[in-house]
Amino acid sequence: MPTVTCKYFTTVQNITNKDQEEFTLSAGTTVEQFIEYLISKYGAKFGQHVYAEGTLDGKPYKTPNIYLNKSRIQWVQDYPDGLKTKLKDNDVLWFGLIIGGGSQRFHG
Amino acid sequence: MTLSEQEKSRYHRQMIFPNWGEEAQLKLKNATVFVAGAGGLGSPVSIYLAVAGVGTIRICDYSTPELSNLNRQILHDDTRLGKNKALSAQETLNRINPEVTVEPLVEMITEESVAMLIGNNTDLIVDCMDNFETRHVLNNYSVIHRIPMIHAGVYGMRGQITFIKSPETPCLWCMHSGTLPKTLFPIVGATAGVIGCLEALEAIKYLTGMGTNLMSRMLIWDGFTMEFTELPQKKMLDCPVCGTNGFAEVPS
Repeated sequence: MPTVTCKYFTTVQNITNKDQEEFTLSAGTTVEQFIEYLISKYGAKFGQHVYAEGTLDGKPYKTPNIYLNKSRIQWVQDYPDGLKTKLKDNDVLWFGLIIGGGSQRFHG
Repeated sequence: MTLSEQEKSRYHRQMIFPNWGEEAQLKLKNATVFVAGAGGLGSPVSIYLAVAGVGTIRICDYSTPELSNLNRQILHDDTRLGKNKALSAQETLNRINPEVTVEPLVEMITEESVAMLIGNNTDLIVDCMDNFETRHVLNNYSVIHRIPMIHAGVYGMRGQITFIKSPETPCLWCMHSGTLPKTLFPIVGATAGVIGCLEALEAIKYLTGMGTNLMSRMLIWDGFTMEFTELPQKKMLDCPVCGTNGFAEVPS
């Protein structure tokens, strides 16, 4: 059974109240399944910081902003299975790595 | 265009740098940089671009300084509360270096206004924003018009910076898609100083052709531990902005 480490940064760390934790998973658990578990553990707000949702050029998108072992899960060069990638022992997931910032107004 | 004796004296200490001289200094004098935001990052960025002699600094911000901004937004002070930030920036920068041109832009950066604000003679965009909505507007414009953009972000005692030059590098969407829920985030002024200075240096290097820029590399600084971490960045092959089927096309 693989043991993985989650590292939480900035806004995500405010939700988890910790900067990292370890999980032992069932063999074959995918990134997507694991994220769903984390959302059930930490609530919908966690999901809002993990998945970016909206429309771009009129098309809807829902994209995870997650790094697995220092590579973004969206880079098919590294993860051809994307969210269906199976987690392995000693994998490290980073959440909230790239700082979003964001205030109620748009200024610098 | 030449350098005056006063300019040669003002910039002497950087011009004696190997391979800098009048040639690199003139490149800076001829350059136009769009600084998006006159806040925490925009302050050190614009100040160091001005003192380095960047000829035209186009600084854009529609908002006004508030007292709670002054722990980091060193372009402004108590006397500027209520004055527009871009105009306040112009006043400060003109005082610091009267030999550069500062063009204040009192506008919100949107999909509709971005072309008018950045214009067609800008050499470089410096992202000094605090939200991804506007950053992606800048990113789209940068990709479509092939104007390089320095992206940076700060939070608390942590910051990140990368140099985007499409199509050679991934665009911002490849690194971080979409936006995030809006929150009031903590920020120590010195963090904006560290990351803003790195942005200014990246800009100066690019404009003078010196050194190596942070292309396809995200530099992350942790002020708690004083550690720099570098993350290689890659293109999202199906990126809706810069990917094969992305909407960004180079105008003919």
